[in-house]
Amino acid sequence: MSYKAFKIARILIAAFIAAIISISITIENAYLAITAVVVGTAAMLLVKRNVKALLVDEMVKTISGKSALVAYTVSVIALAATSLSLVFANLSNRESQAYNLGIALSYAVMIEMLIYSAAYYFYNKKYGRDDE
Amino acid sequence: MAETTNNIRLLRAEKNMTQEELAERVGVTRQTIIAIEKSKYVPSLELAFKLCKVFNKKIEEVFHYSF
Repeated sequence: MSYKAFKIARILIAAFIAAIISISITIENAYLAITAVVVGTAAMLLVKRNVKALLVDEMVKTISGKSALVAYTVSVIALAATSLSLVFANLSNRESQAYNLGIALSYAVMIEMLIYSAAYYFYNKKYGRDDE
Repeated sequence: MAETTNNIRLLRAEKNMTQEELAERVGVTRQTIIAIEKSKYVPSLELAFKLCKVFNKKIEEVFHYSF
């Protein structure tokens, strides 16, 4: 399979998943959505396996790394700011949904930062270790 | 500002080689070769050596670094 055919197949699979998920939301059927995701992922793996062209090289990895850093930074700052505003705006009413949402978002940010720290520690150990 | 440039487009033309062929020889995509030729992307040392090997040139004959 050529790269062009792969791109078309990828779009078709994504459209299929989106359509089935939309239908499953409309008819309120979670199993249908889960099935669609599983089938879509399996189809994507099958298609990827049949691609002869090179899909990932060092430039793609560099771009992915930079994009991931931007996504991480933006999401952490945005979520942290949102959670702090929700918590401090609702300090007087700690039973409110907004306050609890703020707390949940704080935990989400903390988990995201923990994952980043763990990954950073792992790669720093892998590439930055001084064996001498 | 420091800048890394290269003669890959020239060397490729001398060898009558397409971007696709060069990409296949060094194991990257054609987009990466295009970006390197335009000096928009600086390749890793490993890829730089692979490119030099294809053209049978020393690294300083292919890549130039200006401070």
